[in-house]
Amino acid sequence: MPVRIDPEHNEQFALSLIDAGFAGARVLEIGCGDGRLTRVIAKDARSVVAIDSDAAAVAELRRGASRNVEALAYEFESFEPGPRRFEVVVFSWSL
Amino acid sequence: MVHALRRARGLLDAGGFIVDVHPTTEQAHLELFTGTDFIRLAERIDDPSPTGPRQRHAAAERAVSSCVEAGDLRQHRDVRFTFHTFADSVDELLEHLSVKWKTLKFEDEDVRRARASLARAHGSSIVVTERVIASKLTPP
Repeated sequence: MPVRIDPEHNEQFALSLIDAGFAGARVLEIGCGDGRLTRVIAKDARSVVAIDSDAAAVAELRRGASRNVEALAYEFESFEPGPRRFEVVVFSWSL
Repeated sequence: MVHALRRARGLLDAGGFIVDVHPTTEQAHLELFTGTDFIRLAERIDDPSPTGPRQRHAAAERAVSSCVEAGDLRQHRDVRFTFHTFADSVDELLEHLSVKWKTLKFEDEDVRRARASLARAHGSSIVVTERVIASKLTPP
């Protein structure tokens, strides 16, 4: 059996406990990595802009991402969203 | 980190919020899961440098506190939880860590002990356990 990451879904449960609802939201995720949490967010969100400085991880995310995910290889400091604003900004293990 | 939180706040729509998920300063550790119990085997190798994991996680906690104390953000709620990574063999786990979690390392002796423990406990798994905090932050 392959490596199982958080098979108990404790992270998702914690997000529900803090009332971090993503339903219908425009979400910016900072530090998306290969998209482990992005996929969870994208199930409910209207759209997810997912950024990470690791280009290889972002490429991996792009290969399996749903259509509402825009994955970009950026450091947060250099990310320019233009006029876009978000209902939720998520620091995914990246602060 | 304070700058990143303030910048994130500036990217929020009215009514929006920030979610921060980061490990606590408690060291990640290696455990044997027997199917019913978790038995702690070893701590990760500590990196005491300013860029080491524990120092970064402590800095993240300070950044959140600073923003809350300065009135930049309000801490709506936070929850601590346990985050497990399971594998059926030590080699499988080490291979995963070498790709996905490069800063997490264990002493060779601890790895040997983990192999021996797993060999003795048929049907058990080897697990990395980390404590994590999730917070919801809102503009005041």
